[in-house]
Amino acid sequence: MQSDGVKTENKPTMNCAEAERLMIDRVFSGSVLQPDDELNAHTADCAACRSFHQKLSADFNASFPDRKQVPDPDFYDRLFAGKKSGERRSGRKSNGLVPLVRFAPRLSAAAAAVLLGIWLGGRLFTSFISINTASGVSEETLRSEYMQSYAADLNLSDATDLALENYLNFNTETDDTE
Amino acid sequence: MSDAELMRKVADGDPESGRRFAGQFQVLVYNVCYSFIHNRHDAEDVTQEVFLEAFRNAGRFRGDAKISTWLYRIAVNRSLNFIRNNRKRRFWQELSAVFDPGPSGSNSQEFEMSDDATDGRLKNLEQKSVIGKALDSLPENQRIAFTLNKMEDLSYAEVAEVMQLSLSAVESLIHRARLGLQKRLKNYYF
Repeated sequence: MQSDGVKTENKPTMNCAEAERLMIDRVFSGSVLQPDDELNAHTADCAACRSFHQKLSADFNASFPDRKQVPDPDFYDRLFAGKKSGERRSGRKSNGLVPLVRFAPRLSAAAAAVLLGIWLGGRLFTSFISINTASGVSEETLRSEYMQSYAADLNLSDATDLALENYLNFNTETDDTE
Repeated sequence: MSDAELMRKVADGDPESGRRFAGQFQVLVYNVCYSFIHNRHDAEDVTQEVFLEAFRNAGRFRGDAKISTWLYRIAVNRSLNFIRNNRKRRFWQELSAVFDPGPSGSNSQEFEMSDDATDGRLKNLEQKSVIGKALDSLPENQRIAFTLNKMEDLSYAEVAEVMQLSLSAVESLIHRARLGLQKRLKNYYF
């Protein structure tokens, strides 16, 4: 368990927060700093701080494995051998238009595709609406035609139908008078 | 030979002085760049850029500060510029991947940074260690002050000179950087 800012009985001279800050200083500074007895005593007692120190040290060593101690004897020659190509490369990189130029055809193709999609979609939508409207009119026409043909099928002008109608009308009239 | 004398000869194009200057300071410059960039190949490239700039501007060195202070300043600026440009480069590369995900897209000759080596470098940057991420998440000034003081072993006064700040400002930056790192590392480790 870590103690932040509170000095515990087992750690009379240093708390965990102080210990962590010191460990950060020491790990990042490498072996430059002198051993710290107080910190050593604290980490000997405190498992959490010991673990923090181990993880920090391991991570630091893994993070910066390529720090140099000895100069490269060929550095100067390489520097001037690669100067021209380096300047060419940096000149090209510094041109901010290069990526824009590179992507311009693709970006314009994408924009054209979007516009074409919008236009085609609009056209399709419009024709769909007009087809729907047209089909609505033909349905009305068809319905009236069906009604007429149905009426014709029933042959309402037949003599039997007329007789039947007259009979029904007569009956209803007599019912009303009664 | 004094610093000013050495730089005057470098400016005059004396190859022996140039060789001496490069030999004397290349480890220092490389380590500063490496501390910021966390990648050997990129740090070597930036080190070369720092020296090319130093050779170009050797005539302007007045001798008011030490050569190392002057070089630290160039190295820090170049490294931070590299990191910023790298972010832009990553953006364009991701955009390129969106438009052209196939392997045929990488054969463009004009855009050298889209080759395999760069992919590896970008991958390295993405897989940065906990410490790398924690350092990178600090505000720039805190990061510079902390890195120069702790990792490059510069005194507060030297850091103040490189960053052109007061001593108390540097003390405050380093203190806040330490607290920030402590907080971030605790979050990662526990």
